[in-house]
Amino acid sequence: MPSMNHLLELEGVSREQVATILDLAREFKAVSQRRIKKVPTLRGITVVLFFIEPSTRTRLSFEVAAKRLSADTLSFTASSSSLSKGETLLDTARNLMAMKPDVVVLRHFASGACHFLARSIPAAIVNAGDGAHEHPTQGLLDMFTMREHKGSLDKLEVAVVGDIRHSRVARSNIQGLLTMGARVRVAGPRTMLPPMLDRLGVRVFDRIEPAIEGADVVMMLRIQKERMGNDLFPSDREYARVFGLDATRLGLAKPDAIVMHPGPMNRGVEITPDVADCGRSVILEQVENGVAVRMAVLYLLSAHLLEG
Amino acid sequence: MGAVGLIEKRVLLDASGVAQVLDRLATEVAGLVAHGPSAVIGIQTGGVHVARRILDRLAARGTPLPSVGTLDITLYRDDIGMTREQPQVRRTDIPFELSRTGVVLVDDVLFTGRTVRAALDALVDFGRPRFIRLAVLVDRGFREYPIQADCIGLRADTEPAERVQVELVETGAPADRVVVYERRA
Amino acid sequence: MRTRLTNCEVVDPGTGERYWGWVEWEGGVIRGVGRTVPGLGDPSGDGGAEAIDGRGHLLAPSFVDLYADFCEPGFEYREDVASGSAAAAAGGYTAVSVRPDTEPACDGEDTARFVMEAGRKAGRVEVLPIGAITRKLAGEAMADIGEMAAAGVRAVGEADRWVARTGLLRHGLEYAGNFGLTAFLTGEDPALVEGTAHEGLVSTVRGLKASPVAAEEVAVARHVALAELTRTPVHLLKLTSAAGVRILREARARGVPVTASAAALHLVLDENAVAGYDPMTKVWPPLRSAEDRKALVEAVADGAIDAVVSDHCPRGIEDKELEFDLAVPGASTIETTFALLNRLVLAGELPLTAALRALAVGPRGVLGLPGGSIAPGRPADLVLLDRAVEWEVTPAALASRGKNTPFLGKTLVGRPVMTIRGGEATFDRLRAAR
Repeated sequence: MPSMNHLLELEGVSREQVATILDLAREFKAVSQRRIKKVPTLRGITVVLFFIEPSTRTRLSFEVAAKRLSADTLSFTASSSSLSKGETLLDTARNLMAMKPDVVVLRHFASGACHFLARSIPAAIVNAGDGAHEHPTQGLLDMFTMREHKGSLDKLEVAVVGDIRHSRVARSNIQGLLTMGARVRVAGPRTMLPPMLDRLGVRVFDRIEPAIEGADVVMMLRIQKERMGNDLFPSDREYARVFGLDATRLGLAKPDAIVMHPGPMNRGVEITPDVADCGRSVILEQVENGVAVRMAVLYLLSAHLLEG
Repeated sequence: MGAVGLIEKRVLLDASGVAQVLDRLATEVAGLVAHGPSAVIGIQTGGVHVARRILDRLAARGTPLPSVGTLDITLYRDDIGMTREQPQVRRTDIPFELSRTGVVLVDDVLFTGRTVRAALDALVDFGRPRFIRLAVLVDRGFREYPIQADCIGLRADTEPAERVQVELVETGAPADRVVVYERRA
Repeated sequence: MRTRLTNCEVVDPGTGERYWGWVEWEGGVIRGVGRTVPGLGDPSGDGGAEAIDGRGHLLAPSFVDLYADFCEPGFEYREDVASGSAAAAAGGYTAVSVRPDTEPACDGEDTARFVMEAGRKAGRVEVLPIGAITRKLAGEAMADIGEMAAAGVRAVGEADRWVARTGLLRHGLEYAGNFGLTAFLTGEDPALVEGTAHEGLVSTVRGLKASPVAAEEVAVARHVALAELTRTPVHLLKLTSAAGVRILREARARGVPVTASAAALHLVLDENAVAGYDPMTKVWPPLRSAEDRKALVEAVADGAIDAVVSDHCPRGIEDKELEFDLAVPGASTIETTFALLNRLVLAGELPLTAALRALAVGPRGVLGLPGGSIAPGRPADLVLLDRAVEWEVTPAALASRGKNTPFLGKTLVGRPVMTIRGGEATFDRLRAAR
């Protein structure tokens, strides 16, 4: 596999590359299950966790991944940084470069911020979520989890339900899953469906039921609390009633379908508590797999940066 | 079955030679694993096949079988980044409690000792073995680290630039052989 | 003193005439034109005039820009009237209508006179300030439209801002009509706009905050309705969509006093240009779909769109070295508009005469300026164009202070080599190169 310089998005990442990452993640998952959950592989590599938009969960996952590979990590969050004092992203990033990071993991509220950084500084960039664009390691960990349960992604029927328009998780899953030969259906109220999604080969529904019917995987997206003041749907209650996943709706999926959610969940809104905690829910596995997938990504991006 | 860019120079062992050497190695390994909880762990990828051959012989002789594992040392290598290609991480599988187990580490060729060094680091991350011994099919010399094998199938006289390859039928070779190759200029 | 430009291909986009020959002027006015055989020189002799060898280039009426930002007063780090004028002359222009969103805004006669005077001092192009419709462009009270008209302002507009109070806009238009002014209106209904990308496949895939075509339709429909209501001529600036063009055509057919323009960038680029999140490609209104672009080019070709504007927006590095969402929209374009239209001409999408008409004739018509034709008695406002020269867009190659263009580092084909205003060369690469 040709070595990657950055992981900015799953769009354009080949089937072979995705498979390499997922295979590697399987081995790293085994590392995390040992008593000593750490390998010396990336000693001397510095990973900066540059989180302009706060996300404790994703940052911790990357931090654990880096540490299990023996890389050094530096955390740089919006509140601790001079960005809150009006410094631009580029100025802050250039200052970060004084610490000679090999890898910069960026979470940012603006789509394309990682592309901008990748053009501007000499470090490998990992996109940890940029605006409504992509969240490639989330897409990879979701595919990893699906593959663990279903064996193969090929021809897998995957339903993604929720705010597709504003979801980077949905975009990364759509791109990755289509590349891997899965069949993707998305559903949500029309206010949350972006135009022309069908052109990518995705089946688009404005009701949850037909999207779930016969699915192998049902992925519920988080309804963003910060969008509540918006005018995309009337109330939590109505959303739960019309678009939430409950046991009855889950019954439309295949009997062995798994339930996924990128977290954090709004119990009682997009997913009922009994479904979230049921035997078919793999939500906590997703979190565990996130570390393994991120280890694989950090390894692939930085192993070639180590000097002999 | 020479790799691309390599010219076959001489054959150290043919099929019957490989069988003889494995028989002797198996006898020595049997002695090491005879007392107390023991395991044979092959280093990916060549060592795994040699370990499998040794275990087959132990089984054939009716010797009590030790635990079996495989170890990939990629993540412990000290030359990551020195080669252009992406190193492949293979399966590490130690399905038993390593602590208080005596381990015979098996590799196909002992050369600089760096692989064994990495393997030792990797192993101790899984627990505290009772002891670790090293068995190799071929010792070709030129050690860079102070590491020696406890059981050696064949000591071979080689040049540093040469490459020694153990070719077994289970890896697709037409016949079992140990071959010295020269790098094509 | 008489000057004769010989050995050139004369194009009069107003009449469509195109011939090999010469043009002679004196005192800022064209005195004569003549036809010759290419390569044979001028058999009639130059009659004692100073001769300039046109070296086979194309001679057209000079360009007039209806919409550029010269940033002065207030934003001189981006551009000032002098640097903007030099850039405009290098782009083949002799008159430029500039945006009122300066600091202070051009909402009264003082600022209007200041800008005009700065233009006279720079001496390259006639700088025509657009007067604000509302005071401080705040959308709350009417600006001093009458006094600005008295000072020489020919058009009013709100730069790229949206007047939310449609009633105030109506009164502003009525009042401007009182003084014979034209209203320059841009627009997207901001209530429909989430961001500066076209809502379509690219924004869907790239997760860009977007604006639907409907945002332009609502705005254009509003402005057409106000033109019809007030009978004040409205110029619809920077149309971007097929839907906008459809409303324009319908309004013109009904005799509503509207004219329209498209920005050069929108004629050559579409939504795909922003897929890489390059802030240099961020312009407002957004670059729309390939079909929209095609509709715009067709409308320029058949004259439904009167003018192509540069929409010159020089911006500093600090405005552009930002995330796409945060970057300031706009591109420095006034020196590349001809090259961009020439690209369409070379690609067979746009006839040469239509391109020149949109740069030289249409804009003069909108503002009621003389010229736009090459004939005895007309002003000697001319541009000599090298249609074949390949040139690289580098920061050093641009006279504008704004180096923000999506074409930076790229090679374009075609460039003005000499700009003549009132008989005098305001830009001259032809003789400088000798």
